[in-house]
Formats: sequence, structure tokens, C-alpha cells
Amino acid sequence: MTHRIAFFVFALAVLLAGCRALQVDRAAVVSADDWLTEGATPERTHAYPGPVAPPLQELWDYNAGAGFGAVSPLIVGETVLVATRKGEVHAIDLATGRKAGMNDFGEAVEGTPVVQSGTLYVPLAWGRRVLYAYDLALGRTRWRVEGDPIQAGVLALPGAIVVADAGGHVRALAPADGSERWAHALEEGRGVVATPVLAGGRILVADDQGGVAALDPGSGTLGWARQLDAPVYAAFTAGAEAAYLPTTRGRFYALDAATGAVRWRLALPDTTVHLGPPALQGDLLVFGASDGVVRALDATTGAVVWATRLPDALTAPPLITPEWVYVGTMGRELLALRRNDGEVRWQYTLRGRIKSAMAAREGHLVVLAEPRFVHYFKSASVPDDVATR
Amino acid sequence: MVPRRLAALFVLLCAGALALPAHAQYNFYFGRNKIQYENFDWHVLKTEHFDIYYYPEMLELAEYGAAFAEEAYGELENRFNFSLNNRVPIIFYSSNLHFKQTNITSGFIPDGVGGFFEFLKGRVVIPANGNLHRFRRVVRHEMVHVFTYNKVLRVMRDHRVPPDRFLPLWFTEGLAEYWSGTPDHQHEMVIRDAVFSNYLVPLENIYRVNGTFLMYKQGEALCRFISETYGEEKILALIDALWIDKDFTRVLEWTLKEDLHAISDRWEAWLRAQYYPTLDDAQVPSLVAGAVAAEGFTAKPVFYRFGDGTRTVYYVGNRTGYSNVFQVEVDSLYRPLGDPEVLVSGERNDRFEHFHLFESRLSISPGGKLAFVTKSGERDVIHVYDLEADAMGPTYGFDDLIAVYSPSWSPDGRRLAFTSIDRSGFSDLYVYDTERGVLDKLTDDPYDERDPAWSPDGTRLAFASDRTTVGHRNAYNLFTYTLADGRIDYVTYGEHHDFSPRWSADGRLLLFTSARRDDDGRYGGQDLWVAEVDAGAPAVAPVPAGATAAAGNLPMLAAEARPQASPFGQGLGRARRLTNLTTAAFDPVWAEEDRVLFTAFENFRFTIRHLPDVDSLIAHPRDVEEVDLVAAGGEPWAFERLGLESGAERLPYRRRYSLDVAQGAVSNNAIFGTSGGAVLAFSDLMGNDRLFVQIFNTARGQDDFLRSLNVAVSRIQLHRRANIGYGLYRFGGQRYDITDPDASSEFPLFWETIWGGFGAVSYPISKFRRIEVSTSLSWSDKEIPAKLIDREALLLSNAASLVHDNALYGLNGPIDGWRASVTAGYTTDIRFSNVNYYTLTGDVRHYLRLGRDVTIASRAMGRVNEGREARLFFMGGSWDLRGYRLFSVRGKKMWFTSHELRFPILRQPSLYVPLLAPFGIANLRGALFFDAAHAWNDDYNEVRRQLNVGETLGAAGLGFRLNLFGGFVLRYDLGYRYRDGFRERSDGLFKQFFFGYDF
Repeated sequence: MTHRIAFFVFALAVLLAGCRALQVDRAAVVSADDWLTEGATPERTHAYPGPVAPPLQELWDYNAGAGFGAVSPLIVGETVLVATRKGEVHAIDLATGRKAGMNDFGEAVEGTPVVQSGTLYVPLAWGRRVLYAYDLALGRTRWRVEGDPIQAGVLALPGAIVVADAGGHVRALAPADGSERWAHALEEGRGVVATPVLAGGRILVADDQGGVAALDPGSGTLGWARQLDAPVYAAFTAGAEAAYLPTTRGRFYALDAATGAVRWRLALPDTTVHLGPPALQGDLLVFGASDGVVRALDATTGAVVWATRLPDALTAPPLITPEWVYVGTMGRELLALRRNDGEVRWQYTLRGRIKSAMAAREGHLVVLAEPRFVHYFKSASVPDDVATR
Repeated sequence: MVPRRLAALFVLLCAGALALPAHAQYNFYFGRNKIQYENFDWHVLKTEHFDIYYYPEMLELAEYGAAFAEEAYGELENRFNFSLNNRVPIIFYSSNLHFKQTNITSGFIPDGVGGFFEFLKGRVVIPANGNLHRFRRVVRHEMVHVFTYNKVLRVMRDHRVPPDRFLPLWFTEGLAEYWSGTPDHQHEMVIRDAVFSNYLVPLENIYRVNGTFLMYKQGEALCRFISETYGEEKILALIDALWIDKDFTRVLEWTLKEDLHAISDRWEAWLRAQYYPTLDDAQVPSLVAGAVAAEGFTAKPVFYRFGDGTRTVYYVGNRTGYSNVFQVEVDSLYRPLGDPEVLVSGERNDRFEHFHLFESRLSISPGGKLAFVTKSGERDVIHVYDLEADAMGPTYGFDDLIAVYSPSWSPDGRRLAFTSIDRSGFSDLYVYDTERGVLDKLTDDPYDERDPAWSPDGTRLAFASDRTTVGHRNAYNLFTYTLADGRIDYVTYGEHHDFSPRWSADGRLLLFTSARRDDDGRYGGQDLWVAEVDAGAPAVAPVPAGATAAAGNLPMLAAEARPQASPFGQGLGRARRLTNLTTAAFDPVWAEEDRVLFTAFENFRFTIRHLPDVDSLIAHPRDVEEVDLVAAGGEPWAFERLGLESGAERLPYRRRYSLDVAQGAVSNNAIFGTSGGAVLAFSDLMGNDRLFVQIFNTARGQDDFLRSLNVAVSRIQLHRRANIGYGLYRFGGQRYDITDPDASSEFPLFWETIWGGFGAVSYPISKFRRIEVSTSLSWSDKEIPAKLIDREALLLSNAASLVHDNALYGLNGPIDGWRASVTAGYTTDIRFSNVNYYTLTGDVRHYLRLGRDVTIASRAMGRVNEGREARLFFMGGSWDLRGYRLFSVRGKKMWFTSHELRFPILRQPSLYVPLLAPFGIANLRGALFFDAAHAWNDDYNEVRRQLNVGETLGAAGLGFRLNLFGGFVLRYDLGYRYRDGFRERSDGLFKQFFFGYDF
């Protein structure tokens, strides 16, 4: 009998050891190097101000157990957080690449969660409960809300968590308890796939029929609205005065953040081209597309600075640094393009397609790739003994 | 229609491992033959994303195909927003007849199949048919499937959802059509007809037409509707959302944010809004043209007036499952004077193996010789039937020509013009002189020539072709070819589909069909037109039968691919539209009495009709079109090719095996205990070479492990006409063998170890007949402790069979034709003479069709095993002797006869009770049956009721057959059981429930 109990206890211990709860030490302590939201900032610039010079060296990879949508990995302190299409959020130790914890939210995560004040806000793409506020320090759910499934990422603002769902509702929720601060309904039949963006002090929401709405962050009041001639499915970005929106039909728009006026428009001859999410740093706007071309535009004028053709489609946003542009392709390639002329100077083949955003930190890069792997790269310019902070 | 030869060979090999010809008693020995006439010399053309497999004769076509595939890849990468991470193997065949020989699928491939994509190895298989536009479209269609499959697989794997779902067939096929090009005239024809005839299947019930041509076209219309109404992005969104629910209806509702019924209603309204306005002034074929033949599928009419004044219409039709040439006599108003009669029975013998029902026209010479085409063996041949003598005439086949279409007699009845596809895969014009036996090729280029028609003066051929300068936009115009100098001239010009020209008797007019785009860009109905040829020139008298050929008409190769813009000095082409049909007309021919005959498509049927008052229609046409033919001049068009100079790489094909199936099984049995095993199947990319590895163990304990190890390795080679199989095996352990004469009859369990090897050859004489030969040599050690038998033997076993099968299958089993098999075998112990017996079996099954749905099926079978340790045959159960338990009749010799009257009870139960439809209930049939059998060993009358031998047994009663999902048949029989020569009847009715097709 004693042996049986001992065996049971041992088995339970083994079982529990493999199911560590999702917890992050000092999650509320935010560093400037942390990557807490999709695209690094509420403007979704996908820009990293530090150097990440190629060649990169792969330090580790991690099997997350399922594939990824268009989500971005997040970096909180010494931990990488990754959400999967199986509905799990994995915490991975940055130094070792080992699992630091995991929580199953039950339904697929398509949009990128966000971390604010030690709480992880996870949007779910199916089911009744569609947004979870998860306390990273305590490892437990603080609150959850019901609604239409959320395919887009979450926007965290001071005092509000903003989500836009597949049913066309935009809601601002109180971070403390999930209570609704305000709500705005888009036109009937419209849904949101692209992550909302903060632009010029307004929340921009673009829908799957090409409608763009600018909302007041405090009240949800409609500032301006514009109808584009093509749907917006991919994430977009914003600069100080303009928002930059890719569409599914070969059209790219720069809208004035204050008025919604079209500042410039890029129209490809082929309207079947799906333009990918852009990255923005300074005046350089870079994005890939399904035609395999990485285009760099002058963000002010829309003029093409350079264009580099790659063999495969690009659906993931590039990551832009002062010297380099990193792009991941549907052909399994991770490439470094020289920022000033787009020349490919380094490439690395992964096990599967790269269709998710990247995150960077101190000369390191986190890349998500099919079938279900998180890859962690170190720039050659970073000394060997500095894997992490 | 499932080819059984491969299955038969595999079963033969597995069963052959037992080294006994007794395998022949299983029901796998029938089936038609899929014959590999050609031993293709495969090569590989490597492009950026594809491995293109081709044979050297079709290199040019393969280079076109490679360019089409890469072009499609670029487009679909954008549409799917997705890239493929693996190279896609594409196997091209230069004609449909070569394609039919492929081993990549074991099934028979019908005429209409343009290609397929299979999931196992991700192979795309596409034949050419002489039309580069269609080839390009099929390449695109299959590439959409490749992208869809890979995308869906990725979505499911990303979400870790088990692969228990896929997109419905209407969506995948509809999308493949939609994204492979703009709607063609066939699409418009079917959808217009479905809307006008009101047989459009609502979205909720679209599964009812799964797999049909209608489903393809409705699926295409649905995808277009989704794209135009909700946005093209929703197509991708549907695929991306497949993970959310097994039921695609929910996926559809969630993605489009509407209720399914609302979507369906909107779709139907969308279609009606497009097509109803075109009804104004349109003519329904059945209202403007009288029916000559309206039953079944009928096409390709021709008319002949006999010397006694009899008017007869001939056509190709399929009323009962087999295609035939039919004849029907008509009166002066072209009303049929009786039921159509079969003139030539097709698809039951080697000579008329297969009719190309909708592809090849008929022609009658002035002397009454009917020319028609069938497949016969590896190629198409032209048959001649002498209508005046009412006898079959000669058959013409040509070594280098694979597919042959639409022969047309010269006015002197001496020469035949036709189009043909050779091994290169391109369609060209040919003329064959039947008296001199000389074949001449008139054109030699990648353009698609069709439907030649000889002018009444014998100097020119009219034909349809995409060689027009607008041919790059998939247009076909009419041309004439002058035999004297090889000059090709335009007759019509424009972005039309002008087909099937036929000269008027005076040589001034060409009757033809044409489909043209309406103002909205969609194709309208396919109408009857006449074009003027040689306007202003003197009328040309028809050349009487038997007259010598006109001077200067020796055929020669076309002077150049580019046709002349101005025919005979004219600059104007004038054509008159005779009809404004709601749907489509095909294959018009001039008849007498001011009429033309044509095939009409209406209400999803093809019927032969006659249009009266043609002279008046010509004089007062619906439209007159005048085209400046001088404007037709221009550079000939050509598609791009992707060859070595474009960066592709050519390599010889090297056979490499890859895993097809790996299946393991563990079972627990009260007698044998736990046993387990696995089967692995490998094959090469062409499916020509297959390896099977079987391993299983039936040990009941550790001690028995090696003794009970069973291993078999076999190889089947299918690339030659003769299929060859061979292998090695080791079977050991306890066996339960009801055929062993030494084993206990109640419980035939004993130990046996067999080592050996075997070989088998299956040689198809034709599609319907084959010879099978097998041999094996094995060491057998048998122990039956209860009977103190310990017998060793070195067994040599040989068997030969002759099999015939031309049976036509209905949903529940054969309904027409006959099949038979005879087998002779000899098994001997060449070392100890412990075993020595011969085997003779015969089985004949005949199906007499009393009506369309009623068949009398008869079967007679005899089996003899005679000699030392001769095996027992067995019988009993729902598949043969009904009313008796499965395999409960066992004897070394037996005869059996069975007769059934098979009749329909409910053809489509789901039409009456829609609730049944989701359960796949396809039909309900009945059978009145009578069975009789007698099994015996040494004495015919020695009764042993344990084995049911020594007395004549029988059964009679009524059975019901229910087909589920079109492929699984449930059987329920009830009746009386008889013994002792039918003198003894069982007390009550027996009831037997099982599954399987009728015999």
C-alpha cells in the first residue's frame, strides 16, 4: 500500500512538473527593452532602435506544440511569451530556451496578446469568453469577458484595454475588472482582423470591408471615418501624423491621422496581391507582399525607395533596425536586407513558413515559424557571453 | 467500373502465399482490365517549383505545361497569400488515351476527366487533349487543388485539429474552376439551363449532386457569388476558418455572417438577376425543334436517305449504360417512326471498346458508308459500316495516331478527313485514302484543329481551329483548307467559339455552332449559324459517289501556320444567326426537306432535334454579322514555353519508392489469444512498382514467438502490359483453415509452417479478357495433434485462369453483360508425394436486361479438387447459397446455380424522404432469388450434414438491397431453405442480413 501511494505521489509530481503554470517573475517591472505589444509600440512600428547585425546565430528553438497566427512574441524581463493557435500561451526562458510555464486558454489565439502592468491580456478567436486578463505574477486569471471572437491583437492604453472583434464591435475595458468603459459598433456585417493602432492620439480601427474609423481613446467617439477601396486584413502601422494601411487588393494607403485624408496611395497593377503588415522607422516604411516583393517607401511621399524580389510570398511584418530590415518568408527563409538599398546580405532557412511578427532585444531576435517552433537568434555583433541581459 | 485486376493480383499474391489454387473461389477474380499498352520512357523537367514528368515525344507540350504551372503558381501564391514548401510532381500525358493507362490511380478514368490531384504523394496528373487553352486551364485547376490542400493542411495542423474534416467537394471543385479562369461557355450553358429549367440545387442540398458535372458548375457559381457579394477575401477566410467546426455550414455562416438559407436565397436571386433578362426573345430548343431522339444521352446526328426514299437518322447514344450507334427512321416531317434501334453495340467487346460520346462526329458518304470512331486497344480507330449492305466494313487504325476524332468522308467516298492527336499531344488535320492506304498529315503545329468537313466539290476542307489571331484568347474560328496548295483561309473571325462546320449541298454555306459573349461579358447561348463561303462564285456541284477525285486535290502539308486573311479574294466574312437558344446546340448537319439536325442541350439532357424552315431562317436570320477578314491578318500567337533555355533542367526518371500506407493492428481472440501485425506499402511516383511488406505474429506465449512469426514480402510491377508479381513468405503458427481436408470439420485448427516463394503474371488480352498464371514453391510442415498427423511436403503449385468480364455495374452490382472465369491448377509434393491434387473451377454469370432497371441475373459455377490432400471448397451465406451460414457448405467438389430477378423499389429515396439524404441512401432495390447447390467429396450422395455435403441444397425468397453513399450495399434476404433435393423445406422463413454487391 505504501508503495502504491509513493508511486502515485511520484507520478503526480512528474505530471505536475510538466505542467508548470504560466508565471513571470517581476512581470510588472517594465524595462525599456521589453517587447510588450505587437510591433513594440501601440503604433505597431515593428522598429527596434538598437543594432541587430547579421549574421545571426541560432541559440535555441522551442517547440510550442501548435502553430502560430499573425501573432508577435512578447518579451517580458527574462521571458518570451508566445500564444499559439491551440490556445496556449507559453513562457520560455530567454537564456535557455526552456519552458518556464504555460497556460491553456481553451481556444485559438490569432491576435497578439498584450502585457500591461504585469497582466497579460489574451484575445481568443473562438468561443464565448473572448478576452482573458491573466496575472503573470500570480499565475491566475483575474477576469474574463464575453463577446464575439477576437481575431485582432489587443491595444493597451493607459487606463483602457481596447479590443475590436469579428462582429464589428470596438470595446474599451477597464484593466482592473474588465468592465466596459465605452463601445463603438462598426457597420453591420463588418468584422475586424487587423490589430487596432494608436495614431495621432486616436485609436484607428480598420475592418474587413475597408472601413477605417478613428476613435477617441477616452470616450470611443468617432473622430473620422474613411472607406478604402479594399479590405484591410493585415496589421497596419502609424507614424506621428499618418497611418499606413496595407490592403488585400494591391493597394496601400497613407491616411492623415488627424483627418483621415489620403496622403498618398500606392496601387499595384495586380489587384490579387495581398500586401503585408508594414514596419516603420523614421521615414522608411517597409512591407512585404504575396508577390514576394519587399518594398521600402518614403513614408512622407509614398515614393518607392527600393524593392527587392524574393522567391516566396511574405505575410509577416518586417522588423526594422537602423541598419537592417529582417523579413521572414512563406518559403521558410529568414533574411537580412540592407536598410538603405534592400540588398539581401544574410539568410537562414528554418523548418517552416514564417508568418508571424518578430520581436527584438539587445541584438537578439525572436522568430516564430511553422510548424510550431520559437527560434531565438543572436547577432554576431553581440559577444558570446551576452545571450541576454 | 472499378478495375479489379490490381486488386485481384494483390489478393492472388497474398492468397498465393498459401501455394494453393483454391484461392480462385473468392470473388475477386472478375473485373475489367486497365491495360498499360505503352511503356513510357519517363523524363523529368525540373522548374523552380515543379518536377514535370513527361516522355520524350511530348517534350514541347511538357514545356508548355511547365510554363502554365509556373504561371499558375505565381498567380495562386497571391490569391492564397501562401507559398508551397515542397516541389510538386506533375505528370503529363499527351492524350486522354495515354492518361487512361496511368497507374497513379487504380480506377478507370472516363473521357471527361481533365486531370486529378491525389493526396497520397501530392501528385498532379494531367492529359493534354490537343487544346492548349484547356490544358492551361486544367493545370490551373489542379494547382488550385494543390494550394487548397496544403493551405487546409496547414490550418488544421496549426490549430492541432485532427484531420477529420475537409472542405466540401462543391467548394474545392468550385474554387478550382473559379480561380482557373473566367467562366467558359460550358459553365454558362449549364448554369443558364439550371436556372431556366429550374433544377438549380439550393446550397443547403448541394451534397445531392456531389461529384457531378453540375456540382462543379454550381460550385464555381457559388464561389463567384461569394467573391462578388462578400468579397474575394472571404474565400480565403473560409479556408482559414475551417478549424472552427466540422460542419462547413457553420464555417460558412460564421465567415459570411449570414444564415445558410439567406446565403442560398441570395445566391439564387443573384443568378436569376443575371439570367432572367436574357430570356427575352430566347428560344427553348424543345419548343422550336422537334425531337428525333430524346431518351438518354444522344449526340452527333447524321442523316441518310436510302434509295427507296427511307430517311434515317444515325447518332451515338447512351440509354442504358453502354454507348451504341443508334438508328431511327423518320418521316418527311422528321418524326421518328418507331423506337431507335441499335446499329452497332458498343463497349461490350474489344473492337468497339469505347465511344467518345461527345467528342467525335459521325459521317456518311454519298454511297451510304457510315464512319465512326471508337477506342480499340491502345488507340482510336475509324470503323466503316455499310448502310446499304447493312454490314460492318473495314476498320482503319494508324500506328502513330493515338486519339482520332470526327471523320468526314470526301464526296467520292474514297478518303476520310479527320483530326488526330499523336504522341506529341497536338491535334492536327489528316486525310486517309482508303483505297491507296495512304495517310497524309495536313497541319503540323500546336493549334487545335477540329471537326473537318469536306466541301461538296472535294477541293477544300472546312474546320474549326484556335489558329485565329484571337486564338490566344481561347477563340475558335472557321477555316478552309485548300487541298491543292495547302492554303488556309478564314471563314469567320472574332472572339467566338465557332465549331462543327458542315457544307451545304451547293457548297455556298457552312452550317456551324457559335457561342459568343453577351454585352455583360458572359457567354450567351450556343446557336446555329451559317457562314457564306465563296459568295458570288458559281455553285459547285457535289461530286457523285464513285467519281474520281477532282484534279489537284492531293493533300499537302499546310503552307504555313498563319491563315490567309482574305478568302478567295473576299474581304468580308458574312454569317447569319439562325437561332437564339436559351442553352446550346451542337453538331448541326444538313438534312433534307429544308431542315437541319442538331444535338440540343436542355434540362440537363442531350437530345437529337430537327429544326424546320431553314431556308426561311437563312433568309430572315436573327442576326447578320459581317466581319472584315482582312483585319484578321496578324502574327500567329503562341504560348510561352519553359525549357532548358529558360532555366529548367531535364533529367531521366529514376524510380524511387516512398511509403504509401503503414497500418498496424492488434487483435485479441479467445482461440488465438493476442496477435498483432503491420502492413507497409511502398510505390514509386508513377505507381508502376509496388512493394508490400506484411508482418504479424500469432504467438500465444514467448515460446511460440518465432514459430508464429509470419512475414511476406511481395512486389508488383504494373508498367508493362503483363503485370508481374512475385515474393517470398514465411507463415507459421496455428491456423484455422476450413479448406484443409485433414483438419477437424467442427474446428479446423492445426499447426503449420510454410516457407516459400511465388510468382504471378496477369496478361490482359483486352479490356474485357485476361489470362492469369501463378506458381509457387513452398515447404510445408503441418501438425494436427488430435489426428496424429505430422506431414512434411515440398509443394509445387501452378494455376492458370482465363477471365472475361464486360458486365455493366449499377449501384448494387452488375445489371448487363456477362462474365466468366475458368481456372485449372495442379498442386503436388515434389519430394514426399504427400500432397497431389488438381483443381478445376468454372464460374459464368450472365445479366439479361429486361428493361432499364430490371435484370435477370444467372450464375452457374462448378469446382473440383481431386487428389491426395485436396482442399475443401466452401460456400454458404448471403453471397452465394443463401439461407445457410457463411462458409457452412464444404466439399472437394461442388456445383452451384443462382438466379435473380432484380428490380427497383425506390430509385432515390431521399427525394421522397429528404431526411434520408444525409445517410447517403442512394437507392432501394429488390431481388427475387432462387439458389441451388450440391457439394460432395468422394461420393456424390454421401450425406454429411456437418459439412452440408451429399445432398442438393437450395433457397428461394425475396431480398432487399440498399446502397449507402453510392458505394456500400446492405443486403437483407428472407426466404425458405431447402434440403435433400428440394424435398425438405425449412419450417420458417430464414432472414439473413449482410453487405456486399450482387453477384
